[in-house]
Amino acid sequence: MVVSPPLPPSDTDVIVVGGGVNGTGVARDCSLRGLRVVLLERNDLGHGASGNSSGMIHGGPRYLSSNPSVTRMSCLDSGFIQRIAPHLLFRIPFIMPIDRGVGSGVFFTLVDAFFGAYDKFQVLKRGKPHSRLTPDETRQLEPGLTSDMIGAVSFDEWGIDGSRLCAANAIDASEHGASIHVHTTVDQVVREPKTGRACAVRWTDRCTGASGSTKAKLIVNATGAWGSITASLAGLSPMTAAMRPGKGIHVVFDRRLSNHAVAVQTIDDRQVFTEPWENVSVLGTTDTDYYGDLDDVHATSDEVRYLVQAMAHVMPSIRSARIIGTFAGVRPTLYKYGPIPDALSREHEIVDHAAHGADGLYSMIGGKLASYRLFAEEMSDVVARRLGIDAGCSTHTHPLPGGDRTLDPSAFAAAHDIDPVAARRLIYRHGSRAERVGELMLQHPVRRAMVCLCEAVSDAEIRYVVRSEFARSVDDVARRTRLGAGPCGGMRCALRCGAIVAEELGLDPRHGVDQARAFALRTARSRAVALGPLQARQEALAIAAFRAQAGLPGGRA
Amino acid sequence: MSDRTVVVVGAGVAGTSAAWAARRNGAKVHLISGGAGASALMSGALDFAGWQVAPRSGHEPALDATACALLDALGIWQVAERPVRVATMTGNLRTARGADRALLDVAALSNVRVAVPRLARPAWDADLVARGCSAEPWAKERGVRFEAVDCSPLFDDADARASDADLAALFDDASRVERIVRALRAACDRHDAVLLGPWLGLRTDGSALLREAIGRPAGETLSMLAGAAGARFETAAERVLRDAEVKRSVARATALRRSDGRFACEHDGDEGPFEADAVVMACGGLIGGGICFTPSEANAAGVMPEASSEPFAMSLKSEACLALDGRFVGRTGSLHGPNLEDYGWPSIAEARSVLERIGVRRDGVRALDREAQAVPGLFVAGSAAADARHTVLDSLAAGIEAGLAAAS
Ligand SMILES: Cc1cc2nc3c(=O)[nH]c(=O)nc-3n(C[C@H](O)[C@H](O)[C@H](O)COP(=O)(O)OP(=O)(O)OC[C@H]3O[C@@H](n4cnc5c(N)ncnc54)[C@H](O)[C@@H]3O)c2cc1C
Ligand SMILES: Cc1cc2nc3c(=O)[nH]c(=O)nc-3n(C[C@H](O)[C@H](O)[C@H](O)COP(=O)(O)OP(=O)(O)OC[C@H]3O[C@@H](n4cnc5c(N)ncnc54)[C@H](O)[C@@H]3O)c2cc1C
Repeated sequence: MVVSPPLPPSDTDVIVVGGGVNGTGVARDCSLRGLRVVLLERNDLGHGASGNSSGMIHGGPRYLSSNPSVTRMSCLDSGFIQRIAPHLLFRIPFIMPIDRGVGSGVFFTLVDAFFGAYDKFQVLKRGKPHSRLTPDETRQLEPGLTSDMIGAVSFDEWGIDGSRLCAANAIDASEHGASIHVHTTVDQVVREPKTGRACAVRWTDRCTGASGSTKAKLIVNATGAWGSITASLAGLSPMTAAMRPGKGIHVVFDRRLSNHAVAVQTIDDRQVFTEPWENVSVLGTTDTDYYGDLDDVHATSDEVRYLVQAMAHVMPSIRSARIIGTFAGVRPTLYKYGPIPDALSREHEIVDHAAHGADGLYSMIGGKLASYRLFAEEMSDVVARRLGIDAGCSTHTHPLPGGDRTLDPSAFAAAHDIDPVAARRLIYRHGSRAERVGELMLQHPVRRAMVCLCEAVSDAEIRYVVRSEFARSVDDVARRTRLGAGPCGGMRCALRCGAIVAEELGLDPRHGVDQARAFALRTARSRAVALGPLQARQEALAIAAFRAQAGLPGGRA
Repeated sequence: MSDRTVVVVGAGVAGTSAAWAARRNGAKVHLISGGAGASALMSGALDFAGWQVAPRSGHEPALDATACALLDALGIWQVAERPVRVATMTGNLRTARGADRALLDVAALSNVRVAVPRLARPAWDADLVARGCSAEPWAKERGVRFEAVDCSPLFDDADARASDADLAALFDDASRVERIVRALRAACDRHDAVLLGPWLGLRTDGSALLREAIGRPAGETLSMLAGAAGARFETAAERVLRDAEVKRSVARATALRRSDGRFACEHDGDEGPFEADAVVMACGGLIGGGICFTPSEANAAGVMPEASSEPFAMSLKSEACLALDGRFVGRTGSLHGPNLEDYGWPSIAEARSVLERIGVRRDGVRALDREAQAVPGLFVAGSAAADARHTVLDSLAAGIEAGLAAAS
């Protein structure tokens, strides 16, 4: 029996196009206000920028000198996100070493004063005040920093798993009545012939090929960097939702290389960093104009080398650390040729396409993970006003799924007979909802088995994200759980995960094999561009393991 | 008969075959090896080429009498006239040229029910295996159904966390077999065959023993990484090499020096260099550690690497050179390393990754130098060779050929 996900309904209040953090955020906000919502996502939740960002909920220090009120707002909202999803946030203390050189003393004083000003807002997001460090103190904290410096500044930020944030918003929306559809792309935004009003969308399920249309009172285009394409699907000029696509890549190391994130300048005077992030360290990021296929963005070996070189400037040992992968995303930055006066004070804007003759269609342009809730609130306020709804925003007080209470990993581990580290990772991802995964574990010992050993993902968790978090493929499971994100490249877990997904969805088991193979090939490409000595050997092994068990694409008996 | 001394580097399938063949031709053989390679990790399926692709007649080399004699001596692998069909631990069926004899070959079955016992092992999900195998078109066509069945534990709780290979070793202990047989007899009495994980002994022919005891075909799935099949090969190779009186050293060879038509094999062990008339490099590819990938950016001391260099190197220096697609691989035109965009996995079944194509430049089993001249007395076999097939039977056949050539 094939358990096809239900098709989108034929009629609703609001259609949200795009399942990134902004789309899921709006879907949640509108659902909490009692509106009927349909969310359509072309790929998967968090597949775009939201699942491939630097994963920082920062307080917007960039705006400190131009417009401190933006910084204040960012810090306030960062505080809200911590309150509604405490399980998903982790502290990332930063160190910024200052190179010795001409004028560096003055620069150091400026940086120090700058973060002194930032300290005023840190309390809003439970951040610690900055401190000024001598070279010795810096090296005591991070012995790997061996460059010639006059000192360093420390400051505080927060990290988050962007894919999990999207999933959490989508689940909450769904629990408040929204209908969420992944792998379902909008092909056309239908407009009334007489008035030009946007009144429906035509969609296609990219897994099954099923298609149809859904009517709505309002349509929100939250497709990030795809936004201009989506505007064109309504017959509008892409320039009506123009943005500058800025590609950014990250390099992933096999472990946490440092205790602090380290921020450095690149050779072209940009700022990049390595941050300890979940089980790994992440080095990022680049910012280049991107005109390729947004569904298939990947890092190049050139970009990897550019980043590694910059970090080697202060932390030479980074060259002998083991890279296990890369990831890439495209920022939907506001479009501008030359500087626009208020550009510095704004990170996002809402376009009302009534101005272009398409009343009822709105585009969300720009934004950040850190300000997604605020952006979603602004968008939902517009929606509520248009639809005559009084209900205000409650997304800052109402916890996200799993964020209502904390669980004790040791107790959980003991109660479910799993490893405490595995329990900790599970609770990080799901908060109190880990209990629901736990229920599956207690049903059968096989459900406790760890399918992915690198990231401790159990059989039960895979089933849970398929049943309750809209995952439809091995790739989707990987985005929800980090399955296969470790050094082995999924060689131990992808096939078994495919078999479980196929079973849960009632698909032919060979479908599961194809999914596993597709996952392995995609991730192998992201690892190849950063290949080093150990990973090359591992890669050869993974190829052999895959050939032995399932063959590579096209090769089946 | 030869009175030559042959040094074989590497103790995987290729090295074992080369040492055995050279001994058979009367040479004195000294085998030096630095630890486990790909052979210790094999799945238990025996392919010549094109894994998972149904064998095409006429496409694959036949096994000659010498190869059959080696298969007999090892006593763990079966290569029949027709291809075998074996199951994986994640519930797929695939064909192969032959297989470890402990595996359940379902090719001969039709209209039968195969029991898959439910057992508490982290990597064993009997229901998932049964479901997957039953859904294979071949199984449906042949009326072969796989069914998960309840089964009392075959092993003690204390063994629950043992690796598959360690569990398989327990099966060699006759006192344990009794209990396993009893449990399986009860669990599978209404079925025609039994499919188990790779746990049926390293020394004993567990599959035959079970077949005898429970009166129906019984066998394993393919091994996952580092499972029973690789351990079984290592156990058998150990015995064959001992019986053939091959001298063995555990060390890593570092360089081969040639003067006056003889080789001195330098190594990191305590003894001095090993002298030989001929050398077989059976040191494996990237997995076995015979070939290393060290782009100049790796381990560089600062912002820039010291110099641009050749990205691939052999783990032992010699006159032989590495080749990729028939050409020797020189220094890259980058201070950092090669363009890595092509280093991903092949997306077409018949294609090979750079990591599989790289190897010692060769003409058959003769190793070639940078000028494409054969280095006298130097041979290469198995995964160490350029454009190798990276399969068990290819390493076996090439190892035999290289061993015979080195001895004469
Ligand atoms: C490299 C990088 C680093 C970043 N670092 C940070 C950071 O540290 N902190 C921070 O706050 N922000 C960061 N950002 C910015 C932040 O990630 C993005 O601004 C934010 O995720 C945008 O979310 P979104 O929902 O608008 O877009 P996306 O997440 O890109 O979502 C758009 C979605 O729309 C879907 N879609 C497209 N077309 C269709 C269609 N026709 N039908 C249905 N669905 C469609 C896509 O599949 C996609 O999932 C970073 C961004 C990048 C690229
Ligand atoms: C996970 C996996 C699954 C596989 N499944 C199948 C399958 O289903 N079917 C199939 O046909 N094939 C399979 N193979 C492939 C097969 O196992 C290999 O192609 C074959 O075993 C290679 O044998 P080899 O002797 O050439 O190399 P290896 O077994 O790698 O042996 C190399 C040896 O050389 C030693 N060595 C290396 N450098 C030195 C040095 N400098 N000094 C001394 N010693 C050195 C190593 O320690 C090792 O002992 C699989 C391989 C893997 C890894």
